[in-house]
Amino acid sequence: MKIYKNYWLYFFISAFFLVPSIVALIFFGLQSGIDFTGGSLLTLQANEASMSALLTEDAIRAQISDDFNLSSVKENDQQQILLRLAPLQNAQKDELVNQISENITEVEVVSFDSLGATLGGELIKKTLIAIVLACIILVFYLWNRFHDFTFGIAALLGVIHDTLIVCGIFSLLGAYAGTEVDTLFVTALLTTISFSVHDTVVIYDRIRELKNKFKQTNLTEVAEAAVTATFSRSLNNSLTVVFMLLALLLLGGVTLRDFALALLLGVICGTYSSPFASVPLLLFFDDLKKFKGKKRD
Amino acid sequence: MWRKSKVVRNFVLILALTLIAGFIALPSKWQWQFGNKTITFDKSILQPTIFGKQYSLDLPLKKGLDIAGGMQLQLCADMSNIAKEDRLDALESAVEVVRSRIDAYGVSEPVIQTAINGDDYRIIVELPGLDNTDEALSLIGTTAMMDFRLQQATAAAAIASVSATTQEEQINQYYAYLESFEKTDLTGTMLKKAMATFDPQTRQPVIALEFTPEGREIFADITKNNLGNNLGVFIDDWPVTVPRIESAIIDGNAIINGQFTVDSSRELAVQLNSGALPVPLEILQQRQVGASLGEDSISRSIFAGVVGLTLVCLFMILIYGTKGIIADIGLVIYSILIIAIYKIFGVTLTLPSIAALLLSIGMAVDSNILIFSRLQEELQAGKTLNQARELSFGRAWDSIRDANVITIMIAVILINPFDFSFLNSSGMIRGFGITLLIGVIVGLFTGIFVSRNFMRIWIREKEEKETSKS
Repeated sequence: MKIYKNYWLYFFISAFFLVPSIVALIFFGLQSGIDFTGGSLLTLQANEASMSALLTEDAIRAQISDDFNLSSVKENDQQQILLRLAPLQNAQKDELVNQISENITEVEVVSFDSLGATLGGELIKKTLIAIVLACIILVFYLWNRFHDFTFGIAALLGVIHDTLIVCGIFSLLGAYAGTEVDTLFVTALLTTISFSVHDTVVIYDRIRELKNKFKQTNLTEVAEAAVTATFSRSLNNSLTVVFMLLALLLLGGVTLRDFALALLLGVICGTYSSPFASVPLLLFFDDLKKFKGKKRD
Repeated sequence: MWRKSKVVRNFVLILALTLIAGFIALPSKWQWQFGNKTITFDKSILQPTIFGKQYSLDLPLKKGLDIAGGMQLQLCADMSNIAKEDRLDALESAVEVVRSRIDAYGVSEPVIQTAINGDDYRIIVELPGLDNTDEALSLIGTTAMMDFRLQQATAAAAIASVSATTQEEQINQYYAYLESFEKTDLTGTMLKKAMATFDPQTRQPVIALEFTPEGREIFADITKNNLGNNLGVFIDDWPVTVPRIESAIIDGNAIINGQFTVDSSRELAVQLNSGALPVPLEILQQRQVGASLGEDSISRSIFAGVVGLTLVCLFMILIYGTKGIIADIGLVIYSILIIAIYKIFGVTLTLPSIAALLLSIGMAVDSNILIFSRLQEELQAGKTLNQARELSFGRAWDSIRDANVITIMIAVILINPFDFSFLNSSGMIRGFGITLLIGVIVGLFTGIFVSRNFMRIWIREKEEKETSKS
């Protein structure tokens, strides 16, 4: 199959997703959860289910004092109310719950998270370091395994491609549906990295094998043969992971929904990027090398 | 290439491993219903004794805070008033105070950890299954109060002479004992440091106290005027140790001796330091999860897992036919082994770790898929079934290894086993990493070793049948 005859076409397809993602990230950024910014998140449930309709944002705002710095009120599908507030001490939380219980309707605390702002900044730093470290290890491992630096760089760019698209989608979700990113989201990104590389490595491995077998064929033909041979495996493997994640997304608890979504998007991007971003990049680097070589002659 | 006896041996090994793991994985009590007959089995009756030591196969599955409900606290210890070299001791003492308060509160299996990051000293407390968080919080968050209280020798003798028999009398006696102490001007902050050491003459473990200049004078006054009386050390209004004043000490360096062991002297020094090196604790993070939320999430996640697993199994059969069944058997063995490993090593089950488990199930079949695709190719290339099978295992191994090495490395970054301060050490992410790591390793075992042996048995039989037909 001549899938890589005009491999630069794939760069346009990737750009079609990458550019909006980057634009969204620049304009909207990511809605950080309290994990990153500090603050508190209080989940409340009305003692009587019929009364939960009374817990609207306006009603809560009117009843509680401004000191709590209420920034958002959301309702989840289990009729629980999620309040996002400034970092609160336990006593302040109790006061808030009392104010709501007395003035609106009796509520019960389902969960309460409070995080000082200093801790938040620290988490961002640590998670970024983890991602950068993972990328460095990745490039060096692939360089070592395939004796060619461009293999590592192409795989890394593929990973960045996936990460940007997943972040871009979450940026849009944040802007329009208020979806927040938290530590679990970063965990999902790291897993995406490992999954994406997993797929890329399988193709690279085949390229190496075929290259040794037929020394005279050019890299484009080798890559085409390698991708054709591994394609059904890539698809089947991704499908099994997709089944698991879809089940988790649709049937799992609310707390894991965004996490499962991030993983699912990551797996889909990772499956696409291996043959259609990392390999074209590899061919591009190869052509670049040839071009430079010709110039020297 | 391979011998039949080896295959049989491996098969027996896998079977035995699965049976043992399966037994561990089962819940501790279960029932079967046959019509109107009920068979109940209680695992606790099986406790084999090996080399005189009793082993229980009944291991619980540890549930994390987000599943069991409870509270997690991250406390920052304010070290601004503590000299640099004393900070580790101060942290240790603060932990001891927190621990004793939690113990007094009666929380089962609390987790108390410290995290030191540069000039930042933290205590992380996890209290599973705790309902009344307010009381616990005020209890944990306050700084330890230590003071010294005097007891006249005559008062001590008077109380000791009363014989209390009933419980009520004993309680009254204890209250009388506590009330017999009089407060002094000497407080914990006037103690500079307590240290477990050895008496140079008797070589017995003793505790050396060093007072501040202010404390030295007050202490000298007290000891001069109260020879033979007792000077109790109180933390949070409870006596920690009640030594007798045997001589006047004017240089501010006192020794407490008694029937100490090395451990008990150390323990007491740590307790005394909580007064000497008081660190105010500030709550950085509070995380409180109601048990109902956790229960709901776990039952949903388990349901999702079962549905996902079924889908994966059906998919494998649909695509790979009989070979898919081999992969599915491998997957079932995989699930059993995972649960057993969680129980044996006490892996804490949190929601992210359940997600990691589900993800790793999806990835575990990958090695099978790689091998099966390879097998198909080798067969198309005209190899015999036996050759193709062994070749495909060898060739697929390269890809499987490279791909899994990277996943393992990322899992290790998430686990942060060396507690690098620049990486995350939060329990949630660590739990995800650990489950991912276990998942990948067990997945390699079932994907390579188990499937390979099953294929040797299964695919060989078919081949023999085919050859006998023709």
